[in-house]
Amino acid sequence: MSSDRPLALAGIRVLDLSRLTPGPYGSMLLGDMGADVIMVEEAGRPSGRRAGRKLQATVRGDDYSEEGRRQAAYYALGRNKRSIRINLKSAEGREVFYRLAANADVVLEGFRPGVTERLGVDYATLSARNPRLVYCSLSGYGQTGPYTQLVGHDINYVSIGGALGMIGRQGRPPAIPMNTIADYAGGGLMAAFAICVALLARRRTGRGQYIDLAMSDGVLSLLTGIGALHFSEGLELEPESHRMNGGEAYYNTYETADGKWISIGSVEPWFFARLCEILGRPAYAEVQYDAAKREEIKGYLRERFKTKTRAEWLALLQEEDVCVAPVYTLEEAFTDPHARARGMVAELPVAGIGMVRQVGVGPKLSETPGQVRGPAPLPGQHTNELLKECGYEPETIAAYRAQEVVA
Amino acid sequence: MPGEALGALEGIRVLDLSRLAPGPYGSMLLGDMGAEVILVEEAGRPSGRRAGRQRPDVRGDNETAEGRRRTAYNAFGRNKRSIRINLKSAEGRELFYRLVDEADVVLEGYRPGVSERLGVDYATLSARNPRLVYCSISGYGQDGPYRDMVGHDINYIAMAGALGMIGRKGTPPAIPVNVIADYAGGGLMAAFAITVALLAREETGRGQYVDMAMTEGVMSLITGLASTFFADGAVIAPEEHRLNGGWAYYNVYETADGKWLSIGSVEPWFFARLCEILGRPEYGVHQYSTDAALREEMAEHFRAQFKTKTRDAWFQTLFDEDICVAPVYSLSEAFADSHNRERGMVVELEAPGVGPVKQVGVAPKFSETPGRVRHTAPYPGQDTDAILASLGVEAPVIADLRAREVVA
Repeated sequence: MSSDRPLALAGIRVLDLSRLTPGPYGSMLLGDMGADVIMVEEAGRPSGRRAGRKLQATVRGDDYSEEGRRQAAYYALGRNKRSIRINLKSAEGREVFYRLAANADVVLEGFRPGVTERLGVDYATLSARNPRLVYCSLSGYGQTGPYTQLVGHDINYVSIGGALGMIGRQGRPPAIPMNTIADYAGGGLMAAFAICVALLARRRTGRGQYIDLAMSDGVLSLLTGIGALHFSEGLELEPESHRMNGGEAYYNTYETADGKWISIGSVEPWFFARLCEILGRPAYAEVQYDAAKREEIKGYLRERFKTKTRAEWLALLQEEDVCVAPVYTLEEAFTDPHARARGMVAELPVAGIGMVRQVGVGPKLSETPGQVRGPAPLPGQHTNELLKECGYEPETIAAYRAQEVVA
Repeated sequence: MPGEALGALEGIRVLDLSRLAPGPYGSMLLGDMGAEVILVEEAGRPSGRRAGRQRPDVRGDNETAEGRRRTAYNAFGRNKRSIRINLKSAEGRELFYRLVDEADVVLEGYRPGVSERLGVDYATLSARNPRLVYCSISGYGQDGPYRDMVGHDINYIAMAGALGMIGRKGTPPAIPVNVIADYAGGGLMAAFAITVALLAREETGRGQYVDMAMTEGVMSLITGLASTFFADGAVIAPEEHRLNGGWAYYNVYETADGKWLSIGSVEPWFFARLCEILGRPEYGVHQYSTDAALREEMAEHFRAQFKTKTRDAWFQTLFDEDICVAPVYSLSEAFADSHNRERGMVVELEAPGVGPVKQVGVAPKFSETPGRVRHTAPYPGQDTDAILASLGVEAPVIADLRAREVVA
């Protein structure tokens, strides 16, 4: 995918101290757009409760074995990045990090509030050395407020943000929308946006700043439209009670003859009228928003969609203006001809592994398009290179490695 | 909310041609950060199939108390100005071009091809203003086989593979409101892309075209899940994955009062502590067990245990124990919660002629150039005269343009 086109964020250097998903996704978005993203990873053995109790499902290749290399190749959140391993708990390690920060534009971290101070990599310390630094702390609940120290994951942030309670089918537990809303959208993507905003502000002010981004706040922001209805009309959304969560026939999912699902989003009356015509009940168009008819229309649509396979319905409906789409599995989504034609499956050659597929770049920029330039590094793959860039002599590097200051 | 600090995007002018939710949310994010956002709305009556068959929307006008109220609560319009122009008239288009000469960003959400028909496409506008960043938000993008297909959020998440993962066994896929495509993969991703293009312009001196397909925004938002699929071929069915309710340690549980509690004990140390608290420390080592019978036994125990206390009692207990826990809130609970309020996520502002109104606040908290809600949404055309005057159009000419419905 690489080309000779310039990259939008060329020359922007990001130090990424974050782990897990939200931060790495945010810095991946910046890296896709050309930023030089450096993952600052741990050196020395994990200590405390993390020692020896690794999470089961980690996609980060953490060693140089064949399986580790394969995992790294597929780990899209690490693509386009470099990796240095530093023991930030040692004075020398911290000094290495300070030298990196002196030449960086952005620091991104996702520790629990208070940890960066303990490690000496907090905003006050770093901005004193580099006032142009944009520093983004991405946390579950933010740096202030009663829940600042509460631990959590996506499921919890969407709970407390009021999103999860709206999602599901009647009589069943709320349905968990994977970790898209808090981790990816309200966390990583919102952080990438905020960082770019701060970089734009820096062009004018000459100074960086601190960004406190809570994923729980990000979730609430994504509910701005629904929140507006709540504040103005007192709207509460029980599952399946509203046009946006399965309460209406015209915006819903229907099972087809082959046990697959189809989605119908005929919000506009002219689209719904066309759908009703095709399904043989033009009269339903007149009662699209009639609450008394809702269950009857839903029942009819359920029956009708059961009479053909999903493919047959799509052949019939896709050429019509009715707002329809197949409910795809991941496999179907990433083999669909449109997704492939639009570059949403990036293929990159990885030495020793072969051709590796990853999700492509979402926004398509005409002059400085985002690129997938290379796979995730193995931990510490660029340690020597980066230390050299910071002016460290080979002997010092060797000594630091021996002392496990870096790895 | 310091009144003096300049917004981060002060001096950036955005012309927003978009309707509905995704574009307006994207430009709201830019406006919150200080950009000057001008809504370019229609003048003249709706024509064709849209005439007379309107469904209720949140955009109100200044003619009735209800219209004023709707406008005040319409958070998407906040911090913006509004001009109404009939783009189908040559004079209207010319006025729009003059606005473009002074603009940094144009955002539009028409079906592909419409902006060309209206003469407000990227090629036309960038010829006049090469520094312009032009973002088209659409369902499926400006090319490819589905380019002309109509759709809404539910369709984009279906096509992107997200919707099929969401739900409980034996139920239809559960619709995650319109958060993932409209707001996240659409509006927010567009706002991000626009800032990226503005940063690039600092180096290249030129604007560019951004083709933002909501379906692709959604695909980007499932990058991690897709990685696992590409690496291992793992296709995710509802309630079969650790992130969609397949495991006891990451799930929702009903409590004694019929409310729900979410547990996200991914880390083994959190899970071990949770099992201790629930009276079954021996489950701690079986967190990831693939033994179906044992998994069901654990889930059953969790379900029974959580039924013994109210949601809020559990939240308090587990909060103090350092467990990843949260109450599953209704909207009113979410916006009344002390933490969310203390974080400024509910803003109250005075709407002229309406009184105090509440809106969702600004998520990222900036130390030097904080985002702000400066004022409520404008009525359609509220700033038409002021904006035309700033272009040097004289008052008698404005009156004439109004009389001929070129502007309103």
